[in-house]
Amino acid sequence: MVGVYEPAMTDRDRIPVTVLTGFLGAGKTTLLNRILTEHHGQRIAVIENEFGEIGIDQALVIKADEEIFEMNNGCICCTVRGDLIRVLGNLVKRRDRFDRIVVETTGMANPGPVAQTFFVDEDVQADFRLDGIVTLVDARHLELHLGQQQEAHEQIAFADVIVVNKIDLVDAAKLDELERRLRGINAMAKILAGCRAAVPLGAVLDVGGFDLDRALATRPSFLEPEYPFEWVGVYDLEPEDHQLQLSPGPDPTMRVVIEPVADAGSATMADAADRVVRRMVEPVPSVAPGGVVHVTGRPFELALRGGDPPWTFTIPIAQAGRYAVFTQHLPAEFHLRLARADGRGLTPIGERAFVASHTHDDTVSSVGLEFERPFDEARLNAWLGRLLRERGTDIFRMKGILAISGSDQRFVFQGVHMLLDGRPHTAWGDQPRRSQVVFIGKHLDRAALREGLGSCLA
Amino acid sequence: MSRLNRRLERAGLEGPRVATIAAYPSALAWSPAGDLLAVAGDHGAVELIDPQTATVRQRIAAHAGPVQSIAWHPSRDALLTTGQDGAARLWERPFEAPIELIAPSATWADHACWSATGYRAAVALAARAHVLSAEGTVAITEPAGSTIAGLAFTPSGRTLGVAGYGGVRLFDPATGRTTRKLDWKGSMISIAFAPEGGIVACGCQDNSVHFWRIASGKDAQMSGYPAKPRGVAFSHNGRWLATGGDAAICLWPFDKRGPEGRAPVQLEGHGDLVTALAYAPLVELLLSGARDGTVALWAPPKATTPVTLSRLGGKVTHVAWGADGAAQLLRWAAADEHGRVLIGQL
Repeated sequence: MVGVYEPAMTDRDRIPVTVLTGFLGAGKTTLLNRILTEHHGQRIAVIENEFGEIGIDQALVIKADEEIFEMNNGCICCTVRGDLIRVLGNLVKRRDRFDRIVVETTGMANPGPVAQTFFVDEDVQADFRLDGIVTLVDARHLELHLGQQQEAHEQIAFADVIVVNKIDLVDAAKLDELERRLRGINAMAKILAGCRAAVPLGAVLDVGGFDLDRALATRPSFLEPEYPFEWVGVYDLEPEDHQLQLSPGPDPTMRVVIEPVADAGSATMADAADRVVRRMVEPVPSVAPGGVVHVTGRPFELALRGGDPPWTFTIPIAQAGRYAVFTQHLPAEFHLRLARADGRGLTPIGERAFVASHTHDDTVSSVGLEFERPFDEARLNAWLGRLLRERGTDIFRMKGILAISGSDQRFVFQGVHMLLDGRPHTAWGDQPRRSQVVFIGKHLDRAALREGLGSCLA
Repeated sequence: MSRLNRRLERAGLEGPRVATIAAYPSALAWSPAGDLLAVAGDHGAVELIDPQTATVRQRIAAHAGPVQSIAWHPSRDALLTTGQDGAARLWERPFEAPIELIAPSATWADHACWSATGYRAAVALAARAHVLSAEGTVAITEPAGSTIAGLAFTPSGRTLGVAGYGGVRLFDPATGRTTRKLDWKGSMISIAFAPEGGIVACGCQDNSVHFWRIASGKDAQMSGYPAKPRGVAFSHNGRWLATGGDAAICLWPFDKRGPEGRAPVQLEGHGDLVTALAYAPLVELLLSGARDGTVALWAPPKATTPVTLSRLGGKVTHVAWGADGAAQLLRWAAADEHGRVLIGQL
């Protein structure tokens, strides 16, 4: 079943609901107590799971046993939280007594049914809006949980915000690795780190994760990574012409920036990264294979076509020293190799990835795709409908901003499993009509998704 | 019938009265003598309204937290109330000190009902019903498959039916043992027994109505509703099942042939989703309320447009019929989400 819902236009009148998930011990109760005690001028009703233990005396705390209702056709999109329908139906009678609701799930809960309750039940939809899914993870035990429990993957995959808690108990390198792994599973979520769940409440309480307007307003390009590059390696280079070799990878171009740095420490790399981020917005000269990439601290776009791969680019170095090489994509995807003039390969003395690590065999991952040409509406509808029918069980969440052939307006959509919510939005105006789509799910095949969507271009 | 017709004509002329309570109504019920209208609210109180003057005669501070359900004993001035405080209480006239039937707990005491004779009462607590008898015995049913979404005694009072996720369960009210499982993979949200007790019908979460012929266990479904048909009600003679779930009310024929393969009678007059409906006792009159605030009185199946159509300010949450035997009157009431209560008589 594929449903396209016209959301109510009066989002402001609907009561926002925040869903708090996370394994036992991740700090849900700590965060909940903070939300309830900190002065933010909002009255909050809490729907707590049967094991919940809110430590403070709060007027509106309701215990609910999680009841998963599967509707008669048995498809996963019709799996909802029956208890939530009932409790929210009762709470709506008292809507003048609170401003928002926080639902705490049990540790092992799959957030899918919770999210779907807000799509499927018309009464819930009329009075409540799902503001966001906040997932707490314990920095120490995340890997253990990911290794053992499918629910841990699901909780991360569904999240709008991931709070990495208890970071004081792991070192910086470990934290970096955790962040990359979380990104690999969920490229859309905002990742926050803290101890004792000390994160800004504004970042967890007003997320707009399912709000189509917000998808555009706060993150006009939610696909764009935090950094416009995925990797940096620091090399010791001699004053000679170095060779940069690349083989065919997932993209026909690759941006690189090379600049001198003092050392290969993480602070230096982070500083360099911040500088490079600002320069990435400048116009980028394209370089054909055989061309020269200068050490300017400015980006070059390597055109990966023509001739026989691997393609080689020359990097002239004037002065011996340490240089940071930033790459738009992970070097492994292009078998990137930096070699001296005589062809000897170099190994970085330090490196850092800024995104998504796929080194673990996480079956849950994110696929973000961009398209420069507009879509044909009919073909896209047909393709998306079939995708959700056939793969909806495996697709946890999706979001997109689409350019439709013949329309001046952006089409925005978001969905959970087989349930889609979408509508035409603001006009493109002078902006480039670049469509962006993100899928988060199980066993996603990036190439197949790209090809499928590509076949729907006008 | 002619007297009823005269009354219906008069009903159109005599405008109903309006009372107001300062709460979102959570239940509405007429006393057995039809002289008091009880309106429960999320403020924890039950307001007893005098239908002649449409004023609150008495306020019962029934529960700490919202009242979930109220049910009058069928022949005595005794009101059973349940609340989110987990308590079930029986208030006998003069409604001052209650008998504590179930002590407060963290589990909401939800739906409540009496058997037709008033010998037993049942209260839903999560997945179990507590059945109390006039002799003071208490039987707690085996757990239903999920939290109870509706419960009712069969007309004979020998069986308690409970609706929830997975279908309907029938219990022996004396022992609490399951006597029958009427399975359906879906979530039932309401329950009604036909007056002869042979049929049980439920509104379903998935926008359908499901019913079973209890003796044979045969079931059937009416689907295609645009919304959840929360209200399901049999006419006093069992010939019709009225269902909400749309702006039009569907009346399904439940005469000997049954509704299978037949089209329902559609009653049109509300401008939006029907949110509450009830068949009158003794006569074929139907009362309904809708999301657009309209309250309609119908004399179906012949007339498929309302006899009278009144308007409340907000979404209608409940409707109820009462019978004043002394005054030979039928009384009716409808409440809206703002606590306005429309009270009329026939």
